[in-house]
Amino acid sequence: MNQQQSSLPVARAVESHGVKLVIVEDDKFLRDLIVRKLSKEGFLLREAETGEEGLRVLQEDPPQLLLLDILLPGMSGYEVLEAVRKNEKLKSIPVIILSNLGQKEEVERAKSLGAKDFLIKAKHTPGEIVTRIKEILNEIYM
Amino acid sequence: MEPISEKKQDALPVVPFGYSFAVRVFLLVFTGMLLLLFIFGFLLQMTAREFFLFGGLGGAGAALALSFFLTYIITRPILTLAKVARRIMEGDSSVSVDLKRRDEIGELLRFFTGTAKNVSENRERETALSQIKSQFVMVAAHQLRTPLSALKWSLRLMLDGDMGEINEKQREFLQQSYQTNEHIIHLINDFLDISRIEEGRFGFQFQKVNILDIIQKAVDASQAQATMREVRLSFIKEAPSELTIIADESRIYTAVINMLDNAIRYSNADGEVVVRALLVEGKLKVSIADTGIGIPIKEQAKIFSRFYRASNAIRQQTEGSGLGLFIAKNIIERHGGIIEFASEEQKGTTVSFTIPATEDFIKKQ
Repeated sequence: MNQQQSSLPVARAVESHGVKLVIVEDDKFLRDLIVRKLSKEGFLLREAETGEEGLRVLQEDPPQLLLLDILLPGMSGYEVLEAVRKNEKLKSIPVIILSNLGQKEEVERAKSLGAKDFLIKAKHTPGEIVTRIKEILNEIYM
Repeated sequence: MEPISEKKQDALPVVPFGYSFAVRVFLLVFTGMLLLLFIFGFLLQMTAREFFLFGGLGGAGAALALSFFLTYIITRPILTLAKVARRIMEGDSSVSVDLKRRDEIGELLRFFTGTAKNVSENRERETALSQIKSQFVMVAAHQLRTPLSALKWSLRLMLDGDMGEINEKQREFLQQSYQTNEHIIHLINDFLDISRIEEGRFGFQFQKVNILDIIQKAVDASQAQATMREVRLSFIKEAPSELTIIADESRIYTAVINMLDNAIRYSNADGEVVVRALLVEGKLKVSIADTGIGIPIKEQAKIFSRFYRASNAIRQQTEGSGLGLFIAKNIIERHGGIIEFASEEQKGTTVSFTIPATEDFIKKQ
């Protein structure tokens, strides 16, 4: 935690400029849309289409937050989440699940694996997703 | 041990003495035999003393034993049949009946086990079908939600000016497209919820929430629909604004949205929808009153059933799934609350729900 805090000056977290995010989402259109919105907010984004690719991207350059889909080709979002939690270097990265699942069991499973929040794509607008990301960044890094 | 417990499980409910088939058979046979004894004695021209000795001690005793035996033989297969029927009724499809009899009773048993087999096969087929159905709904819902969320997001980005400036006309059309898309998403959520309610897997996540904020959010979200239909929508908060209760935020939101959707949809232009929240004896009461078309008295008993839509509503508007209030009722009841309504045709409808504002209501699940 301390390391994370020192690596991220408070002002930058609030303004979201230069804050690094990774998004794992297999649907290209959805990914493009949310990346567009987040980039406009000043976040630095790296994208991955699959869980495996996501883990590789995370390892290369740990971000301040991970946006993660659940239904993915290959590894599922749950498995990615578990792998992130087991990895010393990555385990303190907050994860927001961004999925179109969202029944009680699914939300509970994600939360029990350490997800900070569970946002449903069909329910939340890009603006609301940005707000939630900023809230969580503030909670954790301030 | 085993036979006793089996016997206990199979024991049939006791039939009142006067109605018992076995008792009647026994009485009939026994009376017949006594009659035969009299006739026999009469034919042999016995004296009263002879007759008493023969008939009373020997004959009557034999008649009694024979009657018991005959009654047993006659009623046993019927009792077996009743036991088998009872087992099938209770859902045990693995009944096997001794089919050695070749008479009419044997035929009856054969027909009966055949029917039982059909019933259990149908039951299995129904279970399989219902599983396929819910799987289908799940897959369909998810497959539909992905493109719909892409639409939602892109329309939203355009409306928020993230794709460049748009003019008023464009905004108006985009706003309507956005509402239409929201409507489809809502419908799909309803179908998913219904399928979950049917399966008994309609999950709730209870936590402390600020209830008035949730209602406010639902009112805000319905404002666009109200404006479009030229209906005034207001929220009067008579309960303390910091009131927190234990509830499932998104389910309560759905319930309120569903009630608001009805109130606005079936209001005439220039109508009014008033949401009111107040505390009554430690319970939160939320009412949603409209000045709309109302529900015909004859149909009022059906308004909380699935797919029900009032006849006057169907005439007025083709849109609407008839699922909203069914889901709302389910949600409110799972919060330990009640939902009720009052309606007069052409005057309006008030739907209200009351949920405990204390913590000890959550039904054990």
